[in-house]
Amino acid sequence: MLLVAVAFGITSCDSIDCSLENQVLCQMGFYDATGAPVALTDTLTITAAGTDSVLYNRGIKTSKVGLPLSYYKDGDTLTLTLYGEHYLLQDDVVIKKTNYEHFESLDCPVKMMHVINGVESTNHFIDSVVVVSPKVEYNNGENIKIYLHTAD
Amino acid sequence: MERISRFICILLISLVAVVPCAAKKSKYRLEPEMPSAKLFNGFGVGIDGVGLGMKFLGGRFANMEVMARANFLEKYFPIFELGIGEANRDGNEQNTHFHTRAPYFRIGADYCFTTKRNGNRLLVGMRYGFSSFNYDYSNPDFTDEVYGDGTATPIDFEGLNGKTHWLEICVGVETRIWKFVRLGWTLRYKPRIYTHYSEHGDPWYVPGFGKNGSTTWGGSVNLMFDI
Repeated sequence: MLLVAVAFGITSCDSIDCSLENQVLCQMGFYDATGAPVALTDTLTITAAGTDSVLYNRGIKTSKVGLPLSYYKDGDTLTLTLYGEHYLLQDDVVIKKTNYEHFESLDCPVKMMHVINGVESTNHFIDSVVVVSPKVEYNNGENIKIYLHTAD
Repeated sequence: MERISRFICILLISLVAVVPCAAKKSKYRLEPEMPSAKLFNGFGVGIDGVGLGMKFLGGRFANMEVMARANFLEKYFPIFELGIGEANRDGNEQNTHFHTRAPYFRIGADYCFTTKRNGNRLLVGMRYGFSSFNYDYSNPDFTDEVYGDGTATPIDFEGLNGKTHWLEICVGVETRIWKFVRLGWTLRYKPRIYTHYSEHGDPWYVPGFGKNGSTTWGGSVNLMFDI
């Protein structure tokens, strides 16, 4: 009977196995025209249309960035503002996506995950954008490559 | 030389004299041999008290089951277990809720290690278990904190489908408490072998298996009736 009691004791204990990642983020990396990773030499700020939230604020030497996407919209427009001492350039990146809720455990918060269906951008300092991994989940690697205009 | 041959003769004679005596003594010491068991010794049916106990004590989940088994040679016990598992649980820190209620079955066999047939049995066995079930999950406080306006969008999943296959390695004992009534318990180690769950998330509990995970432990206290 002691063994049975111990077994039931073991099964009645709970362990919480929430993901270490608190947020599901869309990972973007910056590349030059040859496909080599680059770090932006000037300051980058990213905002999202339809919200006053600043998603990424005054980052310097940015080579990659992880951004939250909206939970229920079919597309998000992210405005990337790159500025230095004497200039300011702005591009919009439009991400089309579908969303689905995911729960790890009763003791962990529900997460919204996404599947990117397409991406496009304006072309002031961005040359092109490419989806490399459409699933935006926990720790899923890079989702979008942003290729920049290379100075002539 | 004469001494040696005399010693050998005495040794041989003593052996011839002693062996029948020893045989006689051992014959008296032997217990009467048990008659060999019949090939088929009937059926047994039973009920597990643990699940009912957990249900009435307000446990977060309970496997309520009945079992039927056959008895071959007092050694081999093919067994079938059928039950209903249910769980109702609120998340600890999150305002979430999980619910399921579904049938499950297990099929397998026990082997009896005890040689004496005095009503006590030490059993070791294995089961294959399966459950196909629907589960519900809700979270009324789900909020998009970046893009939203602070208003919660309740999540309410109903009828998410799950399937789980698992094995159980069992050790147990039982004894006859009155004529055809037996009482016993088992301790069970349960490795999961195949699952299929909704893309929205895994169930917290699987009927018949227990709290969901790659392995778990369980047990039963069985009241059985030989028929």
